[in-house]
Amino acid sequence: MAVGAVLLVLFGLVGLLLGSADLGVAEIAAVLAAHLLPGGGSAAGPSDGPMAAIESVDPVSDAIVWSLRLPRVLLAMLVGAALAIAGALMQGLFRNALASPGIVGTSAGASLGAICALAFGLADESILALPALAIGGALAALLIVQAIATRDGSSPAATLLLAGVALTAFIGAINAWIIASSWEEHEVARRISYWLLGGLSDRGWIHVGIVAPCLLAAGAVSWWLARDLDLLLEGEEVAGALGVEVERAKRILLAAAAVLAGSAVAVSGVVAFVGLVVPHVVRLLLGPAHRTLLVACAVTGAWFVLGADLVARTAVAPQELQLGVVTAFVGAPFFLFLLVRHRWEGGE
Amino acid sequence: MRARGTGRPVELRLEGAGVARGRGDRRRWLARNVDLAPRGGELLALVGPNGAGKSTVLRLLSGLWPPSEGRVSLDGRSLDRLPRREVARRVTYVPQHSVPLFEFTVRELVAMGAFPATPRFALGGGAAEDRWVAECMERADVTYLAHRSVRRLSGGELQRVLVARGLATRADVLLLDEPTASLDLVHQLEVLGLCRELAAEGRAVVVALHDLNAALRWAARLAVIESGSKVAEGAPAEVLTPELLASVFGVRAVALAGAGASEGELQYRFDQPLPARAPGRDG
Repeated sequence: MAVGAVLLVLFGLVGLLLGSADLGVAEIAAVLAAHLLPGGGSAAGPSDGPMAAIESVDPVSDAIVWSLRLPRVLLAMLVGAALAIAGALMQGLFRNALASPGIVGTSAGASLGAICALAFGLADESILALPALAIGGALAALLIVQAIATRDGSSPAATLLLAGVALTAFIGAINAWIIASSWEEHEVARRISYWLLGGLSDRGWIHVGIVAPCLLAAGAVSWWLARDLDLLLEGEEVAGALGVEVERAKRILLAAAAVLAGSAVAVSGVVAFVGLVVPHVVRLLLGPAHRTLLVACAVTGAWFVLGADLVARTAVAPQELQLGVVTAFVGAPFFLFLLVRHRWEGGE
Repeated sequence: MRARGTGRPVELRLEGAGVARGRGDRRRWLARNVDLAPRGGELLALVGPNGAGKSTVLRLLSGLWPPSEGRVSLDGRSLDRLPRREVARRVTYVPQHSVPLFEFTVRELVAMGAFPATPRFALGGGAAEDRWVAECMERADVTYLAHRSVRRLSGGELQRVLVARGLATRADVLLLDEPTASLDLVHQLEVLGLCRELAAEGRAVVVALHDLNAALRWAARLAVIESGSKVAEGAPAEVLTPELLASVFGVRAVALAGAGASEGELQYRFDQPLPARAPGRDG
């Protein structure tokens, strides 16, 4: 896992190097140093000696690296980690290796929030409107599903799942309706469609600032409950018999997954397949124990989305592919490959 | 604390306890007015036809199902008022095994039993937990399986692993639901033998069984459950009379004389159902 983390950092640096503007390693290093090292800011200070070179950083390179590429690289990692952890939580809670992060309707709810923001022009008034509505939509969807599925203080997983599937379909219909009614306004429809395909272009530090705290908080809570989640894999009855407060753990973990999926959708649109494939692959390789699984999922998810975003940026440069297209296009065959190979090796 | 019982006297009892499901006209009692108190050092068998409510009684005892009427208490305190972790440290429930879905290793599965005793903020149990888990695996004779995936075990092996996990909770009351179901003879003997040993060390062990001869042979005390109620309780050979077997199970029971049964041991041969039996209320 340490190797994975190191590779991730290196990979991130590659992400900084690649792009339509041709910048060298030295220039990028200079920009990073200027921002990250103490006393390396642009203001003239007592920074003679090794710091002198930094003050000569080209403002265009600085803008490209610091304001465009770096937030994008970080955002790719954060979104990947958030989706992968959310997927692992859902697969654990529902004891189903084919559950996706949005299975209880959270992704659909987040999409509805975002689509409303775009369709009704709120997104133009504030850059925070879309993410806020998306996260709100995810949590609202979860609350609705829980309200439907809960009776006498307990919400059986199967009922949650079915309610989630139904709500997803229902919200999908509303989404389609909003898109269809906004079709006359080409610009709005175009933006909605692009957003639905998932992508990280034109994102900045503010988006990093949205998803990072969500990831840290929800990720920490999930890891805190990792052993509870292990026990839940054995069934709710066993988990209860071994001391898990089952309903409380479920509520907390569902909320964490909703925050993770909601914040990821809020900043990147619908990036398909990451939350499904990453936890599944990591589980095949490292086993189902969540202490390890959740951390490995975060690293692998970050890796995967970062790589996919690099492909999206460079494959048909100077144009961009949509990120969601790349993740599904690469992820699905890879998933099938693993599945088939695992079968052949005698697994099930 | 060793793998043998902790020696704490535990008083777990059902008093007039029952469980109902559904509301209004559709209210249905899965168990009703059951009094039962497992004792330390004793293997208590619950017997009864399918659907009679043996599992329900076990779930009441484990606190997993709060009683709809009556009371379930642990050392005088209501079980449903206690935190799950605390209950799990005293009473453990081993459900009827099913094929595991996820590829935990045997060691990982047994270590789950240490969950209620591990402080929430501890990163892991550390060396002490490792030693404890190893001891529990040794006790249930599954050490040689430690690194095997739980999906690649035979029924008997899996059952012993589940018992090891129950031991790892350090609970003094073990509740096992049909631990011998679908096991072949050797493994049935192994599992029940282990249960009796664990009881002999001071634990209270309650086992739901459908094999009446096994109950006669292994249990120190026996409770007969029919249609959600306890209809008899006592020493196995005194309780399981041919009359009771006829009325509860609808079979004709013929005591086997001599033939392998050692001094005073009672075993039955069961014959075809009596024709006059009213239809049971299976559910």
